[in-house]
Amino acid sequence: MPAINDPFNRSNEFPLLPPWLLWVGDAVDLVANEIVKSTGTADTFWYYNDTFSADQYAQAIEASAVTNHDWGPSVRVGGAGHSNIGEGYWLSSNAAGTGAILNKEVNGSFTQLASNSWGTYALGDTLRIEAQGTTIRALRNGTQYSTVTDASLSGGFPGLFWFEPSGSVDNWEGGDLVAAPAVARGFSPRRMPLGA
Amino acid sequence: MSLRVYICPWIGNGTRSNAYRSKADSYYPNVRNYFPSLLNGPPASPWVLSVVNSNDFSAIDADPTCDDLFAGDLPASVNTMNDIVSFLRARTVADVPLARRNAITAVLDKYNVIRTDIVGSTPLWKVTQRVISTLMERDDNFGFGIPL
Repeated sequence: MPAINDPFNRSNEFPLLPPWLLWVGDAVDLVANEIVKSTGTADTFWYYNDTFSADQYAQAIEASAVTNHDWGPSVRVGGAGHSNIGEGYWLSSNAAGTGAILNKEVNGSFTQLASNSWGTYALGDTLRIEAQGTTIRALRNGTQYSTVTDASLSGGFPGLFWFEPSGSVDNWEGGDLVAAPAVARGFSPRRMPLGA
Repeated sequence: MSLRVYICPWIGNGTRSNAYRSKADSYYPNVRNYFPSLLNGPPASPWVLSVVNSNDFSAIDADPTCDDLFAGDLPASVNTMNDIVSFLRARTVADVPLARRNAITAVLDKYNVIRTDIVGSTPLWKVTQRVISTLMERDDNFGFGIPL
C-alpha cells in the first residue's frame, strides 16, 4: 500500500468521513482544514480504512495545542481480533513537552513502553511511529528517539489516538514501511558456530 | 549519560492518567522497557526489564524494589544500545569480579531466571537474553496471540 497523505484540505466533515473510521471513543471533526476533538474525554482511536501490511507507520502534527499533548499518531489500530475496547500503539509528547512517550493500549489497558527526553517540543513537529515486526520506533522530525520490542499487537491500521478534547491535528500520513533492500546475490552473511 | 539495565516492578493501574509503567519511569525521563502484556491488557509479569539512560543512578539504586541486573558492572562509557550490546557480547561471566558476579546471581535467582547452563564463558549478553526470554514465556501475546 503506498503512503496515504491526508492534509485534511477539504470541506468540513462532522464527524470525519470514510475512509476514516472510528474504532473506539469520541467523534473527531474536520474543521477549517484540520481535525479537532471538540467533546468527550474517552480514549479515542480513529483509523484509515484501507489495506496495510502489519509493518506500517503513521505520522502527523499538532497544529494547535492539545491539552497535555495527549494525542498521537498510532499504528496497529483495530482490525481482526482486536478488542473494541481500544488497542493500538501511539507516540505522544509528555505533558510538559520535554520528551517522547511511547504507549500501547491492550484491551483498554494503557502501558508506557518508553520515555525519552527530546528537548522542547513545538507545535508543528512531526511525530512518527513505526511498527516493524515486534520493533516499535518513535521519531520526531525524522530523528529516532526510542525503540522497544513488543509483541502485543500484530496487525491493524494506521490512525490517530486522541484523549483530551482540545486543539487540532493536521498533515496525517500513514502507510506500509518499505521493506529492507534485498541482499545482493552472491553475498555471504558471516557465519558463526552455535555458542560462539 | 550511560546505560544500565534494571529489573523493576511496574506501577500504575492501566488507566490513561495512570498507565502501567516501570517504576524506573518514576525516577528518570529516559527509560525503555521490555514490558509484555496479557491478552486482556494487564502486565504479563510482576516485573519488567528497563534500560535506563542517566548520569546518576543513585535514585534507582536506593530503591530496594529495583535491581541492577549487572550490579554496576557496566562502565560509564556504555551510552548507546550498540555500546551495550557490544560490551555484553564481549564480556563473559568470568570477567566479572566475584562480588559483582554473586550479586548478579542473586538477582537472577530472585526473579527465577534459569541459570543452570550459565557458566564462566557465557557472555553477559546471553544473561540479558535469558532474562528477556523469562519474560517472553509469560507473554501470551508472544507469537502474535497464537496459543502454544
